[in-house]
Amino acid sequence: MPPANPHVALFVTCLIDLFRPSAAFAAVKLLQDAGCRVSVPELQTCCGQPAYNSGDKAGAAALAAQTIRHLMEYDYVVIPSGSCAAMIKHHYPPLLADDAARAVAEKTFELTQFLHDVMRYRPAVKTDEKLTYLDSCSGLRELGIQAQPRALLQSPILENDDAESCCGFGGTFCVKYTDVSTAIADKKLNKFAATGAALVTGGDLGCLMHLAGRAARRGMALQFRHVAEVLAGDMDIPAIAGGDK
Amino acid sequence: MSEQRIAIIGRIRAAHAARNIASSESDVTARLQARARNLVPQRGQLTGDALRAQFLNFAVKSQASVAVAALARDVPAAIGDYLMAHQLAGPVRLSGDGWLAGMPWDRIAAYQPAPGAVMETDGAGVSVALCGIAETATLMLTSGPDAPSALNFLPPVHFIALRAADIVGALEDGWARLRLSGNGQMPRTVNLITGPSRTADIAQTMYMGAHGPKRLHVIVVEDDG
Amino acid sequence: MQRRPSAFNANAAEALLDADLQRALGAAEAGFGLKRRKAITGLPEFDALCDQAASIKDHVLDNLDIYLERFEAQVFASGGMVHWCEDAQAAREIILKLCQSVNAKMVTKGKSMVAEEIGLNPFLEANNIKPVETDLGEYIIQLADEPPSHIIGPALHKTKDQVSDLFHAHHPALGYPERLSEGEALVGEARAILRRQYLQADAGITGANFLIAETGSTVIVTNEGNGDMTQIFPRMHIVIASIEKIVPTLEDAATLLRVLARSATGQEMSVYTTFSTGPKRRGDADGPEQFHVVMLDNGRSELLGGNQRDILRCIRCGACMNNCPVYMAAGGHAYGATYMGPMGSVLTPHFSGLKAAQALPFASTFCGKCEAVCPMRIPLPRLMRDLRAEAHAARITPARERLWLALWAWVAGRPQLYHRLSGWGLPVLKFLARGRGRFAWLPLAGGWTRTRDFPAPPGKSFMAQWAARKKPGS
Repeated sequence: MPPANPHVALFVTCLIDLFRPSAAFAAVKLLQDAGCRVSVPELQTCCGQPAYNSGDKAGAAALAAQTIRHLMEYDYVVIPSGSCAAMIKHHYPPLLADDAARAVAEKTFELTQFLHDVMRYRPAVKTDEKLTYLDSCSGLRELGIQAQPRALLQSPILENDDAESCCGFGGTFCVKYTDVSTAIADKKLNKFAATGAALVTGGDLGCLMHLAGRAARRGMALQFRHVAEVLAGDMDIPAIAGGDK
Repeated sequence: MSEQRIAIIGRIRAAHAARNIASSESDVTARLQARARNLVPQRGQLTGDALRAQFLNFAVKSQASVAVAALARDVPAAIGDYLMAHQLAGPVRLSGDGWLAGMPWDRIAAYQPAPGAVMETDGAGVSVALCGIAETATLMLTSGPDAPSALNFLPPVHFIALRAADIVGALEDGWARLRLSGNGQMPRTVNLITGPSRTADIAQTMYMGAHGPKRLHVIVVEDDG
Repeated sequence: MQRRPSAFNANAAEALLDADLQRALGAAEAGFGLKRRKAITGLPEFDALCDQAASIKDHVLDNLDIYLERFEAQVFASGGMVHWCEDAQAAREIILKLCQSVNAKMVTKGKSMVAEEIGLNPFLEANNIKPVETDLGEYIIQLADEPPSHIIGPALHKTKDQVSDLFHAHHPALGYPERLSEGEALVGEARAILRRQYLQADAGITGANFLIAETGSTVIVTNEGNGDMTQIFPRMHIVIASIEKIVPTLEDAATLLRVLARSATGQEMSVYTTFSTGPKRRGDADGPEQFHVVMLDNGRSELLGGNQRDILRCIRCGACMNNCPVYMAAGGHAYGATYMGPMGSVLTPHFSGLKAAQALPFASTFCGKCEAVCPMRIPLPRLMRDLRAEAHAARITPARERLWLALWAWVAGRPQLYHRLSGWGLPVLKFLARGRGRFAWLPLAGGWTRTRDFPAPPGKSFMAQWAARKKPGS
């Protein structure tokens, strides 16, 4: 049985907050539709992942402690990003080594994982776009997210034979090693294009922005949207890097 | 004791101390004496017909070829048939193994079968396997006075005679056979051979016969009597 | 040309423009991945075997001093010698001394990454001993005077045409004047040339995949058979191996062998797995008269006590690089070091110093595939992250990057300021984007916009819009 009317904190993630608010609104809509009471803690900013993965453990720990403080009082913490969810779930406890971090980690979930596994939710809308899915590495390998978004989407996914490979984003990696990052993106984009899909959706905005930006630069017709928007049926907003309609 | 040895061992012990552990002579001795088997895969635990069938099947998968001879005295003819069928030439260099010595090599005299020093000019070599390991169709060969290791590598065609009764399931069963053989000491060389020599070092394309034999033909002998 | 690890970015950029290399890497990525998956699917116990393999190595590392002593005693009992070397120089010198003791002019060599690590070939050459690599891949790159670009496929970066050119440049002097273009003929020519070398060599040098403490055996795993001929024919067999290669028993070796080839080439078992124990026995038909094991530390005993210890479980299968998107884009030479890919990015800083090699632990997207495929359960991303932390703490990462990080952490640590700044910045970005939805160029974002458009944000952050909805009056 899914929990009844749980109080959920939405951790928006800094990328969605700044660059794709529509994904957060879609997440709120989905969580409410699934029967959750949704709050958005006001003082949230960044989970600290860029600092953590760049070797600044002290800086990451400070942001982690700040983030934890704003998330403690809820039944669940839900995040529309696999990598930020994995940061809180798997990396906060060793980084902070305290009970609060462990408690928050325990109740933290990525959005599709939470909707599917915890709330047993099935969205009412179904897209008829030709769809392919971008499995982001943290979500896939650190959280085991693979079946959940596909089940929620309920539409046939045009899969490629290399769905588990990286898109080349890698956080700060994408600007530190621009050429390598771009070469990896190109391989991924070519695989997506070969599936015949028109729309790439996925659970991590960083990966989506990176691929959408590269696809736009290459003049490819592929469109990119966060999975929350697709699930919520919010298809009238311009796609990522898509411009006004 | 060399200074370097003392320094290395000292640093290892310091590293153990840094992690608050101490190495244990008795743990090591126990493990070395127990020689306990770890997990042996199911495919290494077959018996009877299934064991033999798997060995033959995997041998072909490893790019070797296999013939079954009813009796030991059929081995020379089987080798002659193979050489003839593939238009290969001798001389055929035999290991000094007593089992081979008792076989009627005169039947393929044209291929000049003879024991002795392995030569670059030899067309084929014939060795006897200590055992065949069915989990991967691996042949275990040991070096000795009658078994030059060069025989397994220098000639372009390698024949290995194997008693059907010497097909075992897993690598661990092979170790058991090895420990029973000889005087309990490891031979200088133990070769585990799984198929003929190959390389993928040119543009990741597989070519057979990189340095060792281009062809490996295994002759399983049903009854060694 | 000797590339440096500090120039990883530039090395990689160059590699990405090399069409031949990219084709080779593309084939390797597809081939290695497919073969490994197939081999693993064929063995249901694979995961459990990996767990056991990792715990065997952990047990060895916990008792390494004793296992080394037991191994040495067994080598001695079987008539061989062990030479302990703290560093590369000591190892080079003892190998030279051993070669000189048999008046060696030419030595054959099996593939050994430890020999690469200590820079053995140039050292022997400088001392008038000619080392001849016999693994075909190593032979090719020796002709090309290049380092290996992959730990199990050293010439992975070479095309067939390039091999043809190299052979045609070097083989006429040996009596092979014809230019060959077919792979089979190229393999045949190398086979014929190297055969003479095996028989004429004064000493044979091989590496070791494992050292068996129970028996004092050294183990090599090959597909070609070159490592065997390297040790059968010369009078002296020298094994160069590092201290963490110890395995307790033959049973333990069986477990490691089951995961090694499957992870490396996707074979169920490599063609030749050879256990060498001491010199030839009295009456033996062949084999070396002398057997020497050169045991190299080179910083490994220091790794043992620290947070990078897990890398000492590595069995050099290459699965981490075969499955690394960065390696498969940049190729092995971009790392500018003996070891490449994720395992190399962890090891190189220990050999070359973190200052010289700090670019390497950052050369990962942390996609986690290396850890997922590692049969020895080495947490490679965690090890690289710890090295990043060490580099950051030592202030040897680029100053500009540290400044940006500090600025971001400072602002993100002040939520009110953070949200105020986003309230000012986002409308500006929206205005600049002029409804196009993306930027082809942005100040200070060249690392992104050089190859990618930057998706333009809407004029207001989510947090600002959310707050406005909640309090319609404000």
